[in-house]
Amino acid sequence: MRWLRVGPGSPLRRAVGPVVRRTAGAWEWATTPWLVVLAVGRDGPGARRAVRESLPGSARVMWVTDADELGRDWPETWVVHRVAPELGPVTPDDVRAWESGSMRIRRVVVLAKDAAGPRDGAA
Amino acid sequence: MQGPPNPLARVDPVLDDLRQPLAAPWGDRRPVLMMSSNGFGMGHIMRLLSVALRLPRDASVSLFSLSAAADVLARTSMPWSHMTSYRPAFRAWQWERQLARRLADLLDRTGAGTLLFDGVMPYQGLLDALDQHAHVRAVWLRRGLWKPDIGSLSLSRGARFDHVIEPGELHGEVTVPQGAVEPVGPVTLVDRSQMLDRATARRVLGIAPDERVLLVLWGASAMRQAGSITRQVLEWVATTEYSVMLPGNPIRDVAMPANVRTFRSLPMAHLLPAFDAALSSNGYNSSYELLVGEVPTVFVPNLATITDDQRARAEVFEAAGVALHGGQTAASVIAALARVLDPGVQDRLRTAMDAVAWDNGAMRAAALLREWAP
Repeated sequence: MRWLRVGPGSPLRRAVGPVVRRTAGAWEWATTPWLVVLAVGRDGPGARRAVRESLPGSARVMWVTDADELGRDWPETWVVHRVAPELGPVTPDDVRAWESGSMRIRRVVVLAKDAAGPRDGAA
Repeated sequence: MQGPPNPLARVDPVLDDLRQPLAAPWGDRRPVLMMSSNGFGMGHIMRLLSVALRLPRDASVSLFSLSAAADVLARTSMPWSHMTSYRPAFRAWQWERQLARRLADLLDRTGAGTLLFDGVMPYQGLLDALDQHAHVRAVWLRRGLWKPDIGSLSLSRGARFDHVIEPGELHGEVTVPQGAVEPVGPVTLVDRSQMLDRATARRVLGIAPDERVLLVLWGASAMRQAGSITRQVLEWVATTEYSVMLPGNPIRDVAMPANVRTFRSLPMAHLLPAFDAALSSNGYNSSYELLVGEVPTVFVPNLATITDDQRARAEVFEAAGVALHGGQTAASVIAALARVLDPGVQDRLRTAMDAVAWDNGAMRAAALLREWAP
């Protein structure tokens, strides 16, 4: 599993787009890979549009958010997990704990506020 | 002298404004986590909210829902979480395993001592999470009136719960007597005392004081089934003095007749006194809201539900003289509507509804949770 961090140094669309396109190359041969996007504290129409437009239509995305809007009209290959900000931060380790033995995660993209720029935090 | 404005006198009120907390304090009891199952309607979530808003003010409550409509919970002050019940790439066991982990994580984060579940099927993931948290008091808020010979697997899983609360029906009988069932009165989000007066409700909805208005209220799952009937009914109502209001538009591919207006308010029970009569499916929540709001109603049972025996509920209502049963055809519905639009019939139905001693089961359920909480 690899961890990618995307920072605010550049416009979100420019930051997320290349990251997601890099993951998309491996998409074809994976069986049921999921791209997990931690959008906690960073969600919004712009972020959603940027990620959606950067992915092939068949890409399966788990969107982890603390936003109030679930986005039930999203494409069928997207699912939304909403976490309560009052109950503490959700980290990539939490996501890994949820998925263990239940789904295959190809990549986790963290939309973070504090990163200097896009970087590939391979694990 | 005019008092402060009623915070409920608007569409989409803040749900916390409906609080009716128990007077007794929660004290040092552990927090409560409430979980609703999936579904397109709002029934499970709203029943949980009905109870949550009646727990003592110092009780710590958070909610976890599988419903796609869970974001209504953003209009409360309570922490809420959502996990998809939609499984485009999950096998059932994979989803159950993930549910178990999400739920276990939430139980740990909240430090919950009580888990209150509202749904028809206690998921395997739910049972697995409970197995890992044996100290958590498990309570199933299980709506009654299940269809005969339905749900044996679900009911067998009831044995894992420490308690089962059955939101009551009008006749006061326990309808699913499996497990340690505690019956309570009909559960509604909004009490009669919280409903707006007719004039205020009409002002909120933009209804003229002398206008005659029929509310058409189909539950989400009834919309497909009811589409063709709805159109014929609306055409018939157009021949009367009544106009129609719909919460949303169930006839997606048909232009609205001139006598029909739509509105959106969630919840809408506080606005029910605005209406002269209603045509509704017979799901639990909306049915009891209409009765508590004393709206003369023709109920059309949705027979497509899996467990909820709406036909039986309609028969109970009709036998008690508090509502009319519209049957299943456009002709029978229109015949019942012709009766319910008669002022004399409306008076008789209102008198019968007013004679019922409504005791909101949500308050009793909250008291039971307090009593059982570790």
